[in-house]
Amino acid sequence: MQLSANEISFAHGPRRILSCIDLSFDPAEITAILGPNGSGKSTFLSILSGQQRPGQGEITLDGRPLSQWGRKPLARALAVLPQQPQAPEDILVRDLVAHGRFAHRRPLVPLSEADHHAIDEALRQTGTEGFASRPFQALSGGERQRVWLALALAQAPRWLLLDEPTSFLDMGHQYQVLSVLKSLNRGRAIGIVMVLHDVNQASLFADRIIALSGGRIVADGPPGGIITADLIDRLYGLRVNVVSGAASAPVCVPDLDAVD
Amino acid sequence: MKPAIWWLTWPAGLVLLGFAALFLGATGATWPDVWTSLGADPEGQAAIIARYRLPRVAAGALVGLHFGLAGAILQVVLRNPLADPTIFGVSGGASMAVVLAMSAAIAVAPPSESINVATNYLPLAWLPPIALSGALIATAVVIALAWDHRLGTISPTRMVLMGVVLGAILNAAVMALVLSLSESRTELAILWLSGSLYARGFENLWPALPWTVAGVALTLALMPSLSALRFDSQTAQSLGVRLKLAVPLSIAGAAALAASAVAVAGPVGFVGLLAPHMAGWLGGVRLGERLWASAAIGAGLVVAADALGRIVIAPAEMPVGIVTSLIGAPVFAALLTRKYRRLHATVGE
Repeated sequence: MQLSANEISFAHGPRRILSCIDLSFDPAEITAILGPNGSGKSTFLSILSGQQRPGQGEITLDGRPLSQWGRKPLARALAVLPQQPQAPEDILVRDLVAHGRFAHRRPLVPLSEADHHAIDEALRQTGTEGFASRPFQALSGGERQRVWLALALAQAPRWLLLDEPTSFLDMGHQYQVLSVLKSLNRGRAIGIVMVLHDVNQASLFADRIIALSGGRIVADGPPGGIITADLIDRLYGLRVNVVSGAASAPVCVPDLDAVD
Repeated sequence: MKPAIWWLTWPAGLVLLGFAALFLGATGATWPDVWTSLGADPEGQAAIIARYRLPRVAAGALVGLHFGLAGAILQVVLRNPLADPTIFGVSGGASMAVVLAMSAAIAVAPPSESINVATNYLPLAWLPPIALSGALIATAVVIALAWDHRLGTISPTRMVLMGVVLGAILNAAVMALVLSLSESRTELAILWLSGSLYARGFENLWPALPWTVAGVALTLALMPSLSALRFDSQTAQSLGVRLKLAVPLSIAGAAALAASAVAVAGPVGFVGLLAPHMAGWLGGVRLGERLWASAAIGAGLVVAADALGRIVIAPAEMPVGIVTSLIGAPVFAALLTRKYRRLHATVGE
């Protein structure tokens, strides 16, 4: 199922947020979108997921513009994890994840065998089955993020779009969440597009990095090909030394002598 | 998941409460009276129960069910634990229409007959449809003012603010009109405005029943959407909820339930606010459990408050709306305090 952005532009009043973004995403890959604050990356993700309409251009999924997709069919094809989702008060983890089946259900019909199976699968894949019967509010930040991931997975989507899934997590939980995403992409063939703040996470986990600055694409390619000291300087105004990390992925270490 | 027996406790408790309420009032009643009244041809004490108290208890239960369900739906959709069906201006709109109708009745009546205007020109049975029209118009105005054209749906924050503003304006206008009524009419107006089940018969109830059926059916159909709306709206939308349909439809459903309840009993305050909180406190964690428990608690609250109003200053009566506000407000304050104490206790751990 192909996901493409066709000449997307978006303006907020007189301020241009996105200018003519033209991209096609490969479902077999993990794509990371990088860019400084205000570069338009979150707006782009929200347009890509159909949460927001573009000013010009259109997103197509499976060859059809998103505007022609109904909300439920779209939710069965594409799941979104917003930056800071809010959970209902007093909800239990399993009940929360069960809401992922909304688009697969009809009113007045209780959860089917298939629904329960999908919920169990989602809990298992995210390693959250251990606290399925606990109240969501009682969980730690890392556990919560994996439960949100389980909610998205219960939708049984072909695409998973995430807005900064590792923010607010400690380093261990950041990599835990990214590993889960990697296994979903490789094992379950779920296409993943995520906005990330951390260049090194993008470099280590993504197959493709798209760098945005001022609402335009400034770099697009595999981490090894595009992560350079110049790009980081251009994006974030920071001097770094690029060294070779795991599997020869480029890793940036800030050059403290150059920071004044 | 609550055991099946838990579900039976709500309707069973309600029936018991309603039965007990049949005994209470300005004139006492005994077992044989209540028993005879349920038979074919009641007389004496039994007739009071059959003709006055039974329909009153039924009206109380229906009104309470409407307010309880409407309040619970609103608190979910508007994501505001303080949302109450009265924020639509339903109470203000209904009051305005009723008081206007009273003024009009006096205006068309010959001056010499002004004392009998209430019975001759504006029978009590006419008040519900008049109140309903007023409530629906006010609701439409609030929804129109709260419509966010950019998002193409209702903005919850704007809805709350517009409801408060319209309520204040209507309240002032109602007060001005009441003062302009002649003395004999003022009393009738105030009795209605304070929310009373006085002299409500089954004939006042039938027109409300289609609204009950429609409201309950809509709630059942919207239950999955309502449950998903408890998340933030972005998450709800990405789960597949059509916000532009589900939000206005739920609000309209709650408004219709509240408006038809106000039409029967006048503005009965605090039930729609209190019942969902009591349901959350006593009931289960799932939305379905919350909504139906809230409806049952609302019904129980109004029946109990009306019975209390009948005996507390007998042989005179205290209107049910005054009882619910007098008791509801402090109970609500106590619930809030308790909740925040618990919240602080968790944070402190």
